[in-house]
Amino acid sequence: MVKLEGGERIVHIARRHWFLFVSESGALALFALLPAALFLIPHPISVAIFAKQNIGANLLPLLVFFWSLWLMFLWALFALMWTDFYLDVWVITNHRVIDIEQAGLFNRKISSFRFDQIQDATVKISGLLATLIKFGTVELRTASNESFKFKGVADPTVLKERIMSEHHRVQSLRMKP
Amino acid sequence: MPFPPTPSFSPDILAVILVIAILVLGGWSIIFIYYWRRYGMGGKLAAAAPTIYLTVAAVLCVFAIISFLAI
Repeated sequence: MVKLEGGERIVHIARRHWFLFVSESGALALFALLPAALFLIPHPISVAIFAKQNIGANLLPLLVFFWSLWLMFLWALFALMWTDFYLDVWVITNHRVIDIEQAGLFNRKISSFRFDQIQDATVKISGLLATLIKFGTVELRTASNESFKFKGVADPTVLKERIMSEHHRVQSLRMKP
Repeated sequence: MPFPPTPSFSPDILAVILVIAILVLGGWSIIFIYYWRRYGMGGKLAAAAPTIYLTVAAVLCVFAIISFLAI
């Protein structure tokens, strides 16, 4: 959970693009189906191989057993990927940008900086797919020369515009006598 | 168990593997649920994540146990 200051409200929450998560999950799904390749081994060959292990008659239950263990492992891995995707966010409030970097479980880094610290914001969208489905990298540089990058973020231009509009609002408030 | 035991696939070894797998997944589930309760950030999806995770994990455990008993 992010603790907000008094009078602070969330304006925008930015996450990585769903496509990146789905493509990683797709790879996991392929791994999940990998043991099915054993069924493609021609019957006489598989019988010859497994008969040596004395498991010819129990081949199917054994395969299902090890497959279910494999699925248990992949499910735990999927949970890790989901955590990484869902909890790795930039929270834009009316006071600051909160960068929550999630790398697996128990590896969480939270940094925040105020809008008046922002010196420069850049958006990088490279590639056909990134352009078509709108994901890319947003990089913010602060006055203390720190750089905050969000790779693969969804709608990077919208994110940058939100940040810059809040930045301008804060700047104009400071200019007022 | 109806099949003649071999060193690598004897029922005892398979049972040990199954118990270890369930314990590891169980431990992992506790960590996952704790983490999501603490840092889940609210929202429908975050609230549903532990339930979905536990349901699938339980189904996989049952599946593994049934397939072990079928050997």
